[in-house]
Amino acid sequence: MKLVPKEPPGRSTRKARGYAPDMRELRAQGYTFEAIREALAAAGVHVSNATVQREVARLAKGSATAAATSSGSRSGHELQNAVPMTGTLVLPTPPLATPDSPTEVDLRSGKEIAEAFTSSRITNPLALARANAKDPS
Amino acid sequence: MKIAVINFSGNVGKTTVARHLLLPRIAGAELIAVESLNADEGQGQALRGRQFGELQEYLQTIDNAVVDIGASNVEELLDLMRRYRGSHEDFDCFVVPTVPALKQQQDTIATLVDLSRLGLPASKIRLVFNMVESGLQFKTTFFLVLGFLAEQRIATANPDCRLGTNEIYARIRNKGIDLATLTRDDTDYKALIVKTKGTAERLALAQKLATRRLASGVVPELDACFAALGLGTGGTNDAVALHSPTPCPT
Repeated sequence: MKLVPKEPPGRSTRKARGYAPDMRELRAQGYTFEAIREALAAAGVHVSNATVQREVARLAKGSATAAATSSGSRSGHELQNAVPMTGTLVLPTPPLATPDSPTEVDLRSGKEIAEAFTSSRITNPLALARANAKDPS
Repeated sequence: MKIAVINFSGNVGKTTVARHLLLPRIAGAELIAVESLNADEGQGQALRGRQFGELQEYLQTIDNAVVDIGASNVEELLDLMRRYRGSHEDFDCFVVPTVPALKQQQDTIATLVDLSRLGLPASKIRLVFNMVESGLQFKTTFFLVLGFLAEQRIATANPDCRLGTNEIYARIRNKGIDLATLTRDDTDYKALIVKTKGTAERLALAQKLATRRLASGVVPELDACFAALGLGTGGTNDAVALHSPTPCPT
């Protein structure tokens, strides 16, 4: 008898990273973290909602830094290529069209935007104090 | 002038801001509480969020109001405000109190985003930094809200719009006393204490003296915070300065 694993090789959180560009794109289209988590699960990657949020925030932060510095940090696609598994998440009908103000382009709820912003920031008071000591501005 | 005090989060001092910062400084303002939890405080009128239609109609009949929107009603009220398109224009300003706790700062960001999505310009959404500890760096304390506003300028944040923690608010809660009345009280409590024999009576008088002292100390801070809010600028000017009265016997 030959064993056939249900999931591809590697840690599930790392496998989710392979879908990071898709995850970010889906968030930009207004899908909830839970909907993305379910889509990942359908693609055989079982992670928590927090992992989805972290990966989306990580990529958003990375892109922002890259845009700001125009330096050679890895893009989402490069990141995707750096991990062994690639794939495209499939979700049902996309949400409605977007209005044009900065916060309205983002179809997430105010609470989701606030949550994602918080999770993309260092909130540990000790780490924060150290960061502020290094860069008082 | 009609001001709404709003935040998704509880425990940010909405009621304190409404009753003690805004109400006494806006001439002839009525206090309207949209709240199911704090409605027992006995001052002003109380409505539920779902009664937004009634609130909207009532606001057309008065010139000045402070609407204290309790956390449990914010979501429902904002939904209704979206339904009654343009109803946010009934308010001259939305005051959003925030405090140092992270959860409350995150909820504050959510509140600012949802207010902005109603179509409100940044000049009409103003933050009040509440429960600010003296000695702590302002920027460090409110790094989350300030960081968000640095990226998306959807609200007005003036560091001078700040209030410290003060036990006076707890002392006068549910007593229907306002700070101005307390500071105007010219009773010579020290003389009364000397004349009184019983310890319990003396302590009761001493408590009143301490409360008046706290009130006298906090009014200038509230005046400065209100002035920094700049509510008299860019709209109907019904704002009045609540100057500290002549000092009472201490």
